[in-house]
Amino acid sequence: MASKGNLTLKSCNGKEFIVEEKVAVMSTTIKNMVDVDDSFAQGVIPIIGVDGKILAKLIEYCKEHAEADEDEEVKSEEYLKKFDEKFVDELNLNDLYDLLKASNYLEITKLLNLLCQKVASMIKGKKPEEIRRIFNIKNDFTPEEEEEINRQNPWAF
Amino acid sequence: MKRSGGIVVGGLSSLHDDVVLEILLRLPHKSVVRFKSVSKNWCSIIRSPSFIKFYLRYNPVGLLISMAEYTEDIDLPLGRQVLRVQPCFYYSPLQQPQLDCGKPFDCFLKFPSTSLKLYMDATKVVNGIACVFEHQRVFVCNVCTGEIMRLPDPKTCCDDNNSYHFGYDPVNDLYKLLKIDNVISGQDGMAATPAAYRYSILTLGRDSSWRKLALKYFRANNEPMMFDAESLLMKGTLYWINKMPNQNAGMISFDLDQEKFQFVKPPLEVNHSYLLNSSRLKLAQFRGRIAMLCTTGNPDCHIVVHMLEDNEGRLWSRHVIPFPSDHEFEGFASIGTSTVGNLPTGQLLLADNIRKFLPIYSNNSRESFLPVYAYDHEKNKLDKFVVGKPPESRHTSVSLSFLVESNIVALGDLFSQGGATAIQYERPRTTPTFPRKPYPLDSLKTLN
Repeated sequence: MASKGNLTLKSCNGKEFIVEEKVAVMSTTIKNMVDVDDSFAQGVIPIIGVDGKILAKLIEYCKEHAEADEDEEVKSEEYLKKFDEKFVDELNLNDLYDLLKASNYLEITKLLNLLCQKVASMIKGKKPEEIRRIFNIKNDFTPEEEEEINRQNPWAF
Repeated sequence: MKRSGGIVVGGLSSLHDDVVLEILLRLPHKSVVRFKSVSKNWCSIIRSPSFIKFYLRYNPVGLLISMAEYTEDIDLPLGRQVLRVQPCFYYSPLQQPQLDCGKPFDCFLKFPSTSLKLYMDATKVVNGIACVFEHQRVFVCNVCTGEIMRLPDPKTCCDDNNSYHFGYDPVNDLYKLLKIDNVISGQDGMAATPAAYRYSILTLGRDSSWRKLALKYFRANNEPMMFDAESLLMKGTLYWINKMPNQNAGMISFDLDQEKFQFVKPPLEVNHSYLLNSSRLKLAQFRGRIAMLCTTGNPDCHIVVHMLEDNEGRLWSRHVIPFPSDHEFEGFASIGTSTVGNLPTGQLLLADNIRKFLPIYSNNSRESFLPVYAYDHEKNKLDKFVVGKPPESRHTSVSLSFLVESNIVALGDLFSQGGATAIQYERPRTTPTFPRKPYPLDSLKTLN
């Protein structure tokens, strides 16, 4: 068993990433897998549904934070804060959306919180139809139902 | 999870409900309510009781000042000068004292101005909702969203000597407003003069008019008593100090579900001298039970807490809260200490002398931030917080509430059935925003 070793993560389009275990286990899902079954630690872990670009992003984030957890002097809180800001600012909407889903399934709590905060600040003040467009949500209300809901909360508009 | 399958990040088309919930928790109230109409799924997430519970926990807590603002205006066409009054609510989050860039009180809600008829006042805030009343009209408002509704008019009775007490009955999930009219008020205002009361009650969203309370077992004529002006709501019961120095002195309770009053005898130590001086005796929730807080008025003082141990009102236990070793805090020693509520984790909150919240009484050298103490009974220790500088205005009366609950339920959903009507209102000058940071107390866990 290579507990201090490296793990190999494989994206859905076949890209492989070799990462340190401390970086990979920022994901609670991966941590649980490795804890339960040692053989994962040596083999390749396929991350199905996440492409190479998104997986690279995830790893970039986890690497910074894993290193910061280990050595607070090199990567201070302030440094991390700046890194986080830059990280989310550079994401386009599609990447943000994919990362949200990936960090939820992989249970990277810190990243999920960061992304949710980013999305919240993006969508606050927007209209419901804009939200539907952003998240590709189908409006399944009848016009009457929608009007009734809006009528109940006139102050929110 | 199958080993051969690896980790499947599924559902490419839509976000998981958990993620939607996490995002919604971080949004201001108005956005959350507006997004009910995004889809049926979003609507059901937002309406679920668990979301509302999470949302309240995620939002920080703070102090609310309610007060009336006065402005002079020219009354056209007569050209007379009139005084206009606007009830307002200001909010400041509880902050760590070492913060150098704290937030001042923000205006949350400002009522439309009316020419001054009679003094207006507000009830305590319950789940983010408060009632505002004047001579013959009563309103209910959600202080966070700014929504205002006018309630059915109360039946007029004996002019100005009345008080309103707002409460929530968790058994039936109902909000009720109790009106107490002092029919025969004391001639000279002395506490020893017996008083007679009439009671009427309105169940918000149910009653289209005020109901007179028929009180078979609790008549003011037979049981001399005197309600303190301020009530405390706890677990579906309103409590008052009975200032009448007789055998029933102590406490009066009103069960909002049963709509029944009861007398509770005070502990021996709480004698008449306390009952006559309401600034030295306060009601509060302590360790989840009703308690009487006494201060002696001596400079070396501490607060003695008498906590009611049983529901029958026979057994009181005695506790002592130490005086904060802090010169800024003068409230305990004399008048006006306010017990403003409890943190979600139970700690009792004590605000400084209420006069400090009145710019009219304060001098220019006053601190920008006012201390508030949270008493942790397990550690027997006071934690210091601050709230922002109170708003500048010419108000003469304020009341303090503690706002834990930023209610996101629309008043229309809650009360539209009972003859309440929504009214137009002015939006506050500044749009209030809750800071999106987790609450500073480490004992309070944020989500995750």
